[in-house]
Amino acid sequence: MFELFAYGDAGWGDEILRGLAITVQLAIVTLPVGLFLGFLAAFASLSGLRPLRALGFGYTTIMRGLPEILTLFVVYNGAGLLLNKGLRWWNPDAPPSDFSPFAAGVIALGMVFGAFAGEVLRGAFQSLDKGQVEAGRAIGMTDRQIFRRIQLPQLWRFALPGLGNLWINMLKDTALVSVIALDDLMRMTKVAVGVTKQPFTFYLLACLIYWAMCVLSEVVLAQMERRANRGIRRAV
Amino acid sequence: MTKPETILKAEDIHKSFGRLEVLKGISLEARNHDVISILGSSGSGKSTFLRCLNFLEIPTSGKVTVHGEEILVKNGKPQNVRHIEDIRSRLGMVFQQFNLWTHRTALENVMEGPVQVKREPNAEARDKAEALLKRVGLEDRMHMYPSQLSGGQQQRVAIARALAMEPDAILFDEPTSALDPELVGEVLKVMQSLAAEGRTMIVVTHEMGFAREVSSEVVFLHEGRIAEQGPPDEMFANPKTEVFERFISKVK
Repeated sequence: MFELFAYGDAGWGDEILRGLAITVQLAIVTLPVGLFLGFLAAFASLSGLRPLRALGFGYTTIMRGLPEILTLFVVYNGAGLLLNKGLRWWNPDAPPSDFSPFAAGVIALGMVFGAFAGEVLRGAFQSLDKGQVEAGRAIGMTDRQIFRRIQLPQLWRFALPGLGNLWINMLKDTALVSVIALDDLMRMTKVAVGVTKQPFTFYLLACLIYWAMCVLSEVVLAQMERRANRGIRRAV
Repeated sequence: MTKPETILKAEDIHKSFGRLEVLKGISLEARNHDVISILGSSGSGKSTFLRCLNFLEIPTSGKVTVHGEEILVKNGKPQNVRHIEDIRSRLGMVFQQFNLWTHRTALENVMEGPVQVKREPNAEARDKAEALLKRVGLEDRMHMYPSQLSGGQQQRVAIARALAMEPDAILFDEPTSALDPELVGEVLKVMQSLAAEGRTMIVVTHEMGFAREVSSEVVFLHEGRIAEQGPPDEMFANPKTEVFERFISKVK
């Protein structure tokens, strides 16, 4: 049975590993995009300006209400159409170009991550101690200084558990990109199953790999939380 | 004898929350070396008044002048917003709940204002912060986080933090009310030494001992107005108003 997983032409080891690499790349590239969108959404929904607030809440509400796979299709097909329209407007003779499934995956997963992260960050922001903000004001700090020196460093502590959950969710959601023909771990597993007719073996392998990634993430996250809580847990 | 210089002047401060008028026109003047205790039962508006002095609460109307810089407020709108941060940096504030920054050590808490607001060089701010923490008796706690300190120690760090800005006056908002009874003394002792040093202080407090023995003037607020005001000996010996008489008989 082990020859099935062999590295090289005979087995599926190299294909599965390449799929895993794509999955990990996708998740790692999506994270900063999602965090950035999350911060934008959080600031928008906490803004004093009503239109900005509406925009922030609108974005989080709509994105959270859509099935991820639908978002992915809309981005992949919609963005592809827009791209070609744009190209032809710029140069009417441009050949139709395909929107990269990887980019579509990053954008779609990033948008979903951003919507949920926006809520996590907004909640974290609101649970910060108001007294500490007042103390900053009382010594004459500007709003910017208060944000950078007092709020942001503590935001992390409140947001980390929620963001950790989102990361693990997103890691698993990467499997959805297999439906737009990105050769990730999920798709390579399906190919292997199709060829070898051994669904149980390969799906079990995929399960173990996804699960291992999640466990690894949880270990790292637990350490980050410990670091973020320095000086807090060691109470008198 | 020359008249001591006026440090802080508040004129006709009004503050409403919605339809509830909490402050109904309060004026107060603090001269150099004054220690003014503000007394009053809960709901009298004493904390609100103190918070209006450094614009943590924006008055509905009135005028605050600190060191010649004045801010006039009409209809809840300060006329020169840009002076607010300036006035705040000239007035230290010590809060009931200490409000130390929990992600920074005692030393970092004290250095933050001088470095960030006054742009002092790090080394200079550090020397000053160390001296101030020594001054409040915490030389062996400088590198601890607030959560590792007792309430009394935290409040002393907060006092050092206010002093680090070299303020013209320090506002104290019920500085001992959140402390366990056995920790009140250490904070009062520091405050007393500041008064002896000639610091200008405005203190909202329930500590009658402090008001009587340390302050140069007592202001008694009742329902958003100053009901009685004067030197502590006179006021406590013969209260002129019935409300103040009732107040001191209750807190004794």
